[in-house]
Amino acid sequence: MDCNFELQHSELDTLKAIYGQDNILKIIQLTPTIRATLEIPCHFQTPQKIRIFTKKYVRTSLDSEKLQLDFIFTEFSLNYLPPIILEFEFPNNYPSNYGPSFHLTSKWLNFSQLSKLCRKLDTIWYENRGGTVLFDWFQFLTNDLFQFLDIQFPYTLNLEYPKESHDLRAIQDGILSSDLLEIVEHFNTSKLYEEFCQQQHYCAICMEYLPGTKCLQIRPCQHSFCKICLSKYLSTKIQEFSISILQCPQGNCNSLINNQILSQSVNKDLYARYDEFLFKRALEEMEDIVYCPLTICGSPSELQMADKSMAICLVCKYCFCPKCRRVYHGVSPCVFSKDKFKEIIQEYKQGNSMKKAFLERKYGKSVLEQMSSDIEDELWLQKNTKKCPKCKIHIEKIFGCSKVTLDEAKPHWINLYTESLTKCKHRYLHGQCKLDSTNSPCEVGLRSSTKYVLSGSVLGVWSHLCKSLASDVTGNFHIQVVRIYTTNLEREVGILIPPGRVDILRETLEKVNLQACGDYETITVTDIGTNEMEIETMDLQNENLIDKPSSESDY
Amino acid sequence: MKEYEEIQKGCPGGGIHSIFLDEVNILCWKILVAPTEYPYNKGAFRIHVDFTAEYPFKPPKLNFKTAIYHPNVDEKGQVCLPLIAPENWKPATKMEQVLKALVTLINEPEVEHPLRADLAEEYSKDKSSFNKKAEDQTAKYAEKKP
Ligand SMILES: [Zn+2]
Ligand SMILES: [Zn+2]
Ligand SMILES: [Zn+2]
Ligand SMILES: [Zn+2]
Ligand SMILES: [Zn+2]
Ligand SMILES: [Zn+2]
Repeated sequence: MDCNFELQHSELDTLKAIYGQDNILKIIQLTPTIRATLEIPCHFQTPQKIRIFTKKYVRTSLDSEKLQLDFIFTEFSLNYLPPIILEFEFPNNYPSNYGPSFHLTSKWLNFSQLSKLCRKLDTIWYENRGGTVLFDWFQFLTNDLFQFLDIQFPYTLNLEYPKESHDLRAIQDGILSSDLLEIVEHFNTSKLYEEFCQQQHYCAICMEYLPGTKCLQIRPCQHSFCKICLSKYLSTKIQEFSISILQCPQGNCNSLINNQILSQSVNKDLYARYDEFLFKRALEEMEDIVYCPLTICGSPSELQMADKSMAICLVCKYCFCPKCRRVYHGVSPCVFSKDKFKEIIQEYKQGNSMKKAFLERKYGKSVLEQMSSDIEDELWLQKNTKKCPKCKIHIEKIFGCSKVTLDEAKPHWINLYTESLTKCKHRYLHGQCKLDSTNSPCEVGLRSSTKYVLSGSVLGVWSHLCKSLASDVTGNFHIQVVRIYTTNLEREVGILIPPGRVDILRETLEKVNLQACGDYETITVTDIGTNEMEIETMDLQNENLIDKPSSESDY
Repeated sequence: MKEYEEIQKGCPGGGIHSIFLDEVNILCWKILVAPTEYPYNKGAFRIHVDFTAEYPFKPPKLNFKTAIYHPNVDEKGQVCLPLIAPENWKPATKMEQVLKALVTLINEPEVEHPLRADLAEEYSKDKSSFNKKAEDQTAKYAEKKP
């Protein structure tokens, strides 16, 4: 027992001595048991290619409702991957009887891989049982991990759902590949920055070696300069009479100075001045000009054709596709993928004015605008058709445009709602209806319609009734008995009278001059195409919009 | 000036035979250029490099003190070198590169952007006449090769 205690503490002291400074070892607790974590760094001397697939549902085509699973493939070159975390706890009888209990956590290794590692750690313990094992574990995880898991580069990260067969000590921290993408990229960037700060860098302007903390690195060329020189250079350039696009100070390097560097290098006034310059420049730049993709030329080129699918260089006459920037390919599909599109548009929209100017220069403003509206259309369709496929059809047909915002659509819908009280669909859409000239009004698309019902003791006037109802040309009629609710919620049963017959019937009944032998009840229904009259008439109670037809009762 | 030390150590060669530093004014280098190519290979040309106080954030200015019959150098000795044009200037560009570009320009005139259009025309239309005149002028004005 005492012996174990001593061994545990001396092992921890050794670990502290080796891994204490770099934040690799973190002690969680010392009593009652020792618990700590070891962060296993994953660092590649030369950048390695890592791939991540992210899943996304996309519509198979514009007018199709089908969604298709699409994989987006991202590849980075990384120097760092997030560390694998080994959390361990010494049981009382470690190392004499038991090995340390542990968890293995990683953001980028999956459950299966981590399970395999857990079993390997067990084996290492078993082979050395009775002795301290953490140093061996750490060595294995640092040096032999990729070989043991047979990971080769370019390597595709592949997270998975937990299964029962997985080791419970294996923890895959996260499941969303889109999160993973961000985590991996961010970790690498911040580590590289840390590294940059710790190194000495040669500034080609003042010709001095300086620590990274005093330098700035320009991307993507990675040329670095001291902050003082860069600041002087950029300030001088902006204050020049003929201000121009800011580039990396290295000769022959065309990397643009991004906002981040600029804001760290020049004062607010100069920053604003440059921003304004870029803005004006973007405005002045003709919309139909792109720049020749030939690096030796790079001259302005004019966009051709209505759809701007071709550009011709004004200088070298090179004829190219402004999207993929390769030689013009006619009607054959552009290799420029939709995802690349989206990426560029996103970059364009979120970018500062300099980025915008750069992209405009590369692709042409009007091409970018067209791409962006194409994408918006698609996004809009995706969003709206998912919710209600019918609405999409309506809106497209009425307004002939696939882009309608809520506010734009509202007045049209309100108008349709109001008009549909009195006008049939044909009159609403075309101003006239085939049935206008006839006696029987068209009810297609009407929100409200009037029905006439004869109720009460109709038997006494039956013969007159038959006469007036049958006195049309064809000589036959159908009697439809309906049950209705009146506006004051009374239930009535009666005969449905066709609208064309109402006046004749009224005349006949007046002539007969019978007292209270029949009642006309008039009802209105709120909607066409529903057979549930009871429900629809109930709605009338609150429908003040609808004119209540004059009472036809009390005969 | 650190760059001066380096350029002397580095021994650039390629026609820049010697660089004399005017000790009184570190902002002006006096250099002697001895081109290797015909028709300028018979002598050496004295050139002044003037640096502004803002150097290297503003480009240096080159001035021929020896007359030269060359399409890219005007009668006043001003030279048109794209590398040191204000809009192209990069502060990380070293004088060694500038001088190399200058030697290249002397050896291979750039007739597309001449300072003296008449010489450019002669150069492209009647090379032998141009060469003869350039050779004569070099013999007449240029200093002896050190
Ligand atoms: Zn510097
Ligand atoms: Zn650069
Ligand atoms: Zn071109
Ligand atoms: Zn294309
Ligand atoms: Zn709908
Ligand atoms: Zn109609």
